[in-house]
Amino acid sequence: MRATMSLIRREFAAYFTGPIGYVALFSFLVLTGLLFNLALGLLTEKGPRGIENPMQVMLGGAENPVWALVAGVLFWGLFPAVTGIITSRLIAEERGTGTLEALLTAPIRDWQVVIAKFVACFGFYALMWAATLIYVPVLTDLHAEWKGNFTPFAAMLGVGLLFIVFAKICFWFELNGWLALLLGITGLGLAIAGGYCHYTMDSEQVVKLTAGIDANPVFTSYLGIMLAGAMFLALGLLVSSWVKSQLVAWMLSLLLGLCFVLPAVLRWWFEPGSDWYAVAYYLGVPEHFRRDFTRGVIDTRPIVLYVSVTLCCLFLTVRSLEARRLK
Amino acid sequence: MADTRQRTTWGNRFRFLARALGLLGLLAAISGVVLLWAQFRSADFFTPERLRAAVEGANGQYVQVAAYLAGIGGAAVLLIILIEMLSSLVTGVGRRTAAGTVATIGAVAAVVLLVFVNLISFTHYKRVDCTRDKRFTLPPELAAEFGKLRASAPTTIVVHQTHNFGPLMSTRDSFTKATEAEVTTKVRDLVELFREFGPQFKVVVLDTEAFEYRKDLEELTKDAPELLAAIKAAPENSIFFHANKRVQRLAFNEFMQLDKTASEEADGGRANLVLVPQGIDRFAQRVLTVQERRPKVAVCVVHELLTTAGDDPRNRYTLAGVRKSLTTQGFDVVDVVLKKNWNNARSLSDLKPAADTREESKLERLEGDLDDADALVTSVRAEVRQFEVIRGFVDKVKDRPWEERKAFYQQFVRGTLTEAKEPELLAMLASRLKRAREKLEEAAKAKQEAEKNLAEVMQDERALQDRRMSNVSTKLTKQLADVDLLIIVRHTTEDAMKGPGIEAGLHALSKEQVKVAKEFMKQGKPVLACLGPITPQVASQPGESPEDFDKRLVTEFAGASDDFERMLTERGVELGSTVILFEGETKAITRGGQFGNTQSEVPPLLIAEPPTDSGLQPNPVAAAFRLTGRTAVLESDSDRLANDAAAKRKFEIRLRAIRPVSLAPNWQAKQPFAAEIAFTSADSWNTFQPYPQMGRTVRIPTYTPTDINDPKKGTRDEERKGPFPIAVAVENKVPATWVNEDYERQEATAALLTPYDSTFAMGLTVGASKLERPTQRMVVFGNGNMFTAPKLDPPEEKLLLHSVNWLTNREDRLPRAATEKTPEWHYPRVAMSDRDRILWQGGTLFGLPLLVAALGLFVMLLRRIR
Repeated sequence: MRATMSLIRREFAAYFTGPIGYVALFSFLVLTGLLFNLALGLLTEKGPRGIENPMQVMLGGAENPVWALVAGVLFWGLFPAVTGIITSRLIAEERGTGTLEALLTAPIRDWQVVIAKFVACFGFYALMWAATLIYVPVLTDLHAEWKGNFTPFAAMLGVGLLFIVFAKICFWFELNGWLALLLGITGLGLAIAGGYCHYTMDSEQVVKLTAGIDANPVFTSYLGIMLAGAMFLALGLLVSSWVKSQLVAWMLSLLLGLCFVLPAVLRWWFEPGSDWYAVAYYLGVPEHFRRDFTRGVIDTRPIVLYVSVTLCCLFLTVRSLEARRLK
Repeated sequence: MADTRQRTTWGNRFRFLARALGLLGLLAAISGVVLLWAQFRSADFFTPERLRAAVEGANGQYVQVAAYLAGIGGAAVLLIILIEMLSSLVTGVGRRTAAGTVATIGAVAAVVLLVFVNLISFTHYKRVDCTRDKRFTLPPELAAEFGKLRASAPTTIVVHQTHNFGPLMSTRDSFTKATEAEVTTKVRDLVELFREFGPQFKVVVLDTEAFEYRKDLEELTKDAPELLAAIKAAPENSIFFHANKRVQRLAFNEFMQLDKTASEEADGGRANLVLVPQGIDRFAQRVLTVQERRPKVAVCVVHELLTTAGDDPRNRYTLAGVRKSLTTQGFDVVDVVLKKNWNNARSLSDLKPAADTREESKLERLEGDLDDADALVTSVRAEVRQFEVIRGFVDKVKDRPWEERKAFYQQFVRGTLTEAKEPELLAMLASRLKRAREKLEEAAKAKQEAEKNLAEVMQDERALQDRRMSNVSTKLTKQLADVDLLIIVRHTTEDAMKGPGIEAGLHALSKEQVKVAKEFMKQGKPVLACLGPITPQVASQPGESPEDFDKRLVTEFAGASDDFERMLTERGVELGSTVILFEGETKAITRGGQFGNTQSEVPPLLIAEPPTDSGLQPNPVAAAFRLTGRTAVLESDSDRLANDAAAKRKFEIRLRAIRPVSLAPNWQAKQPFAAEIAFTSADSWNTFQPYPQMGRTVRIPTYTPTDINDPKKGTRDEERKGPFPIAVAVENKVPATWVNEDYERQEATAALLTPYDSTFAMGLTVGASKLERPTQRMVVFGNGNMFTAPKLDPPEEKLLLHSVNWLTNREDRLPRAATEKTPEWHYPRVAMSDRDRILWQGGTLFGLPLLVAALGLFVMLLRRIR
């Protein structure tokens, strides 16, 4: 566990020691900033114009007005490219520089290598999206008011957050990895359960939050984008394990990523309700966001697709590394 | 230098060849499929039978080549896959590659598992609606109802976009445009929900602006002419529900209604789009009731000209607009003509009660036309004969002396005759003979035409059969047996300034007709009555006292009112005998404008506001009309300013010559909602003498309030200033006397005994309350021509439809106001000052990325120092 944690730390820190992480984060924030501005424009619009689900603009699912549609196409065109940038260096760079053999001969299992690299890149990806949480108060018309009513559920939320902080400390100070994991998972569970109960069951809250716009689509959108991101990252990781060149890895992961983006374009050709449309919907990630996640609907189909492809790709990456060891 | 690890063996060569062949086969197969797709653009083509036919050249050389490419390429790919699998099997069993094989099998198994899991997920899935207001979830009770619908009787839901929101939003502006886009999205969302219920729902979206619209429409309706007819008749964006040859329609507006007033005022005047959801149940109801019978409406009038048939623009009495509007809304409309013998009538008493269909009435009219033509031919023929006889005599005497001829001519010519004038006389005789012959020819043609028309109508067996039924009561009962709503229209005075119009007595029903109408109401069936003023033209004579005038007036009124009106009075409806005028009307006469080209403007009707202090609920028809008024976009604001004529198209109803109609207070107490639908404005007044006299003596109607000592003071006939109620909606139990004949006698007895003992009267009241009496609905308007038009204007049409829908218990079709449960929809907005907005924009578009860039540069610089 300690080795895995060390590897995660190393991989995660690598994003911030080289330019690639900053370039990715900068480009990503410019893109999402542009989309947020489009959404903001529609939320403060005059006259009979606007957007019912602001997250549709943020995640490229809006069809009206036309420039929101164009921005959506841009977003989903760049999305696999951004995930490709994040993953392209992970194994390909090690292969290119010859450090992979050293890593594979180290007392660490192949699956631990893969998991560590995946967790690191997913952590970076999550960090990128965490930066966009700054938009949420506007996207949900959120107003906070200090009430100071502490309840047991509020305490549960506080303890959960505290556990998460401890887990972070354990992680960064290289304390017991299992303890960090336990604290992290317990803290996350407590925070989610406590927060949910505090805001749904308690009549008075510590901080009273009121959202003028339905906030649930924001939660479902972030859930979707995390799972979809995991799938694209796993694909990128798999591709990265096949080749030596980072550029080739990026191009291949972009190509494979587009296999899950382009089917969404086909929906224009098929009659909604037809079997072909159902297939296009199933494989088209942008369509999942346009129809479901950004509107506050969770469909099991995309979730199964994301999780299964992620697991399969991670498994194949492990096999790919094993095959290399066998050569 | 060659790589010694890779020896070129025959096996390697074969593997290379096989793989190259497989790759080529794959390319060929893809090319073939693309070529076939380009030709047929349908996945249906890819069936073994069709492909076989294509290979055999049944679809031409192009398809044959494409099919060969696809077939041979596919076969090559399959062959190579088989070879590879066999090869892997052979290699895999060797010890050297066992580990690699296990890894490969593991990878293949993972991919197979991935495909399997996703196939299961594709068909077995669940959607969870996490939205705050559960926007994407059907209410459980509706979902249960839909679940029961059989897949064997599929329902086709057609979303038909015409990009037109009907007469209410005839002018497209930014609000209607946005409404259309949003409602279309919402309809499609709902349709998606319906798709989840399985194959019993087939959903088709048709857009008239789509390229292949006509083709798609033809394909959809090739076995469903009734659906095609409904689609063609629909005036606006609509959703159709089709099952078992029956069609129901729902306009987009009935699903979500634009509140233009609220839209304009929203967000502190910044405007938004405000839509009022009309409920998913309304949509669902159409699906569930798609096979229900269409409600039937009977329109009763006294003459064929007043019926709903025909839309001759010259016929200003037609109710064709009523038929059009009701038919479009899913009603069947029949006409009943209540009077006959129009051809021979010389006075009102000559008219006979009837219960004719329009066809019968037409038959009667055509027979009359034929009789007239026949009589004309006979008379003209006699005239011709007479002239011919004269000419014969003239021929005989032409050679006689002048004196003799003169004596002959003097028999039929007056004045002095001279021989010089004889040719002129003869020419005149010849001319008159010629004219008479021409007239005969014309009359004969007219007769032939009348015979032809009659023969055509006689082909309708039904009209002849109905005619055989001579008993009016039985016939009317039969006509109304399957009718769901009775509409009685009495078109009398259109404009009091132009005189009394059609005499009210013409509309009076006979006793047996009233009895049938009463029986109809006793079944709880609704009635809509549009009763024009019955005020006769009676002018006070010089020196006549008010009492004498009133006596004369009462005599004149006796013929105008009938038992039908008295029956309404038994239900609490108070029908005024006066006519309501507006101040401008009489002023226009004094200015001379009334008889010129321009007519004076009258103020619009005031639709009843929801009662505030009486505890009564709002009138359902008035409430619906007010809500609809908030939607109407009849002209753009700029047009209104630029063009005065356009201003007339506001969502208002302007009527002249209206009769006060109200509900008696004791009857009002029996119903939960306010009875009044509409009022006249305050600058109106009523009078018994509304018609101006422009003869030798000029008399302009003037407002004269009823004297304080007049017995009419305080009654419904009091002459006073407005506002006046002019329409009521009534819902109460039919009177006890209608269902129990003894009750009337007992009531009279109770009235006699009440001064001595009120117990009997009380017992009678209790008894009446226990009598089983149906609740019946009525709407009465004090105007007979408000729905008279070949095509109704939007305000009149909506008032009619709301009244009819309410009367026939189709409240689900009345517009609904937003409630706490179904709040109004609008685009979400974030209140933010311009400064805050600019800060957010700059901060997110430049600030945050620049912060990251600066951090990155800082790290780079730091690393360089190290």
